[in-house]
Amino acid sequence: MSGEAVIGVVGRDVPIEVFDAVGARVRRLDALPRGAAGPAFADAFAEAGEILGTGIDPDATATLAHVLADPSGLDAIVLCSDADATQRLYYALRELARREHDRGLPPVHLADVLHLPRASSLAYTAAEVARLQDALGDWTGRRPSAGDVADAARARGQVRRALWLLADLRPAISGADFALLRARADELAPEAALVALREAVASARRSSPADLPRIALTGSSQWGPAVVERIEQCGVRVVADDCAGGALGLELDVREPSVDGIAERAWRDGQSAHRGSALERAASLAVRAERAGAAAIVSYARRRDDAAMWEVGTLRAATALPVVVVHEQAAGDIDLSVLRGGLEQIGMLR
Amino acid sequence: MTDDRLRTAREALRHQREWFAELRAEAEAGRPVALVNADVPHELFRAFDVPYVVNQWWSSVAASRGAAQSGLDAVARAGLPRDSEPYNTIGLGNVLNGDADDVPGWGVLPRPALVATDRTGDVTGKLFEAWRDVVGVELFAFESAVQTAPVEEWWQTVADQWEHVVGSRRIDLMVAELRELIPVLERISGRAYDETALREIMRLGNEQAEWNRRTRDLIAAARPLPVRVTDTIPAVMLPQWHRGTEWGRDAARALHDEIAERVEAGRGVVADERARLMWIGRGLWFDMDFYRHFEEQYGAVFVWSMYLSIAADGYARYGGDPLRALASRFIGFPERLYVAPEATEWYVDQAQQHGVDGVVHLVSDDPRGGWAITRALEEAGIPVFVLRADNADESAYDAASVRAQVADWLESRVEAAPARR
Ligand code: SF4
Repeated sequence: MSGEAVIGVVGRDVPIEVFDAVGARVRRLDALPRGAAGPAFADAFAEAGEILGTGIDPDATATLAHVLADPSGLDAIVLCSDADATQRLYYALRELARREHDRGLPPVHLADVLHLPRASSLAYTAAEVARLQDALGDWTGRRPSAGDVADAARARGQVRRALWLLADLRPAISGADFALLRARADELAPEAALVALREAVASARRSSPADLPRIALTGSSQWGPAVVERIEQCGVRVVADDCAGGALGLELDVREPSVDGIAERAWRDGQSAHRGSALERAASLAVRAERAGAAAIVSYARRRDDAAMWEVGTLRAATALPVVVVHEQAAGDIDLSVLRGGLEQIGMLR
Repeated sequence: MTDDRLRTAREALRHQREWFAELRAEAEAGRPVALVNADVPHELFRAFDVPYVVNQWWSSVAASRGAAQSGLDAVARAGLPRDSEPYNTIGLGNVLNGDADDVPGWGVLPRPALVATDRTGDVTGKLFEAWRDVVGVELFAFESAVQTAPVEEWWQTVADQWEHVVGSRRIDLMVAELRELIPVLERISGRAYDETALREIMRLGNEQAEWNRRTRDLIAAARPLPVRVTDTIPAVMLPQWHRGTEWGRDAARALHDEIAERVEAGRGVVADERARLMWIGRGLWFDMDFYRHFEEQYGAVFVWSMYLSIAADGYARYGGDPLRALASRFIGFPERLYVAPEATEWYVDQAQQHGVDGVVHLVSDDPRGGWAITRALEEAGIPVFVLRADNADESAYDAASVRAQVADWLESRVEAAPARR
């Protein structure tokens, strides 16, 4: 293979360290723009809707549309079980790749990372991460040594810690800028990601925190800045979150720099809206939000992405902060009239 | 009109009432009972003699007896969503309401001592965590790991070669979970794990599956169709909840024998059978007249539903360690019912075995893979009508318009002629 392999990635449970270890680059398919651009994309979007049906997070439909519109440039696609929509996307891509060779879809792989706190779930996850490493080895022709894996685990740990630091510097950095850097970091080699993040940290330290009402965000995944940017257009800053694609899990380190250690971290990193416990998540978000000085929590969910609905009651019970609910939203979008209405009602906006 | 409903369906319903009344009495007397999702290994509960109620079965009872709304109101009062998978949350609400939700003809759903579930989708896990965190009931959850190496024509080999078809890694995972569930059930039941008892339960379950298979094959070969699909559904499903008992096995045999009698006598559902149809998806519970309408108007009979055929093809597991065999029985149902290629190949095979002229495919919001299933059938030369509806929510369902569309499809694609009067 000439040059670096480029692998499409979907979902928060795909361990990026393994890609670093084989020198493959990640392309976050879930961070591509969600809105339709051009007639080719519109056709692909309609077809993706036909394939995935209506009962699915529209974000997954948008991701499939991107792949159908232009599958070139991807050597493979790796998905995970972080949400039902990601799994369904995997099934659809697997079937398309199996049946329709002329589409030119690359090979598709599922890294089935599990999260129940049991030794058996950990063992299963370890085998899945080893399988992912084998698959990446097949696609790239590279078999990483234990040293390569250890280096990758440490380097990615540094990236994660820098992101964590940056997450806590909100509102000196906007929520949208953080979201952008967060999604990009996975796509850059760790060294390059670190350079970009250190610059962002330094610049955030130089600027004085924006004097805007602060909110915390929970609910659907947020790969990329689109929704956060729209939220901040209301004149608020997102200063904390527990979203997939956001700050969730950044504080968790790999304890043992090996394939098993990477798997152990991925298994532990399961407190997402879709896989985590509402009680634990609410307790932890309440603290994150208060510490960041948020005056409200916004629960955002896309249509047919039901996990967040199950957390609103628990969240309200866990915090004295008002919770503004904006559900049933379209891919990459938020209805600002609903959000504004909710923020006005609690006196955050006039 | 003579009552042509199956005796065995009526008998299964009578038995179900008797069984539930007994379970309630025992629960009242302080015996711990469990509430379990349909896709968890019930047989282990049976091996400990822990009575269990299947969540989905209870929902169907409560929904048909008007106890769904009050249950969902309680769910909403507890701060949980009433409009996300309402069908699977009714029981939780009924238990929150306690004696207030007395379901006519059935009584009150006892508060379980233990709930158990798989973690398919995004909501099942959270819903059952609400049993733990809101209702205060002990929870046992199983992982739902994914098949990444589908085996062709699984239904031919799964009964004997389950280790290969289901995959050793997923079986190892579930066996480890079952080994964690065992001490929980020992504590709740006060009994020790008895492998011999589980072996016997597995044997009876296999015999039940064999009878279901004979019944399915009998219906597939019979001309005309001897029994309505709406009759076979309860006659198969109620005994399925008693899988692993002699009653369950005998009920499956009685169903077979009753249908065989009809075949022998040449009895048909309609006098003039003109089209044979397959029904894919869950039952259209709020419009059960749908089926009869097309029998009467088009001589179109529904010969197939997944309920009998998955009972025929999905459950038998021979040989091996009983815990491994049991695990392999419960891993992968969603794949075989909804995901290509396992599901698509099976539906095509079933359509061909039953000699159907067309398929009505109910595509609701949640099941995956509807697109691939429709395509596979059409590619096999079988016309498909895609009926878009949620099987438990009639608010968006327009019976007249759906019937008109199906009629259109029958005339144009299945070439069935309407009845002349
Ligand atoms: S806003 Fe209310 S009604 Fe709408 S999805 Fe969320 S919980 Fe359900």
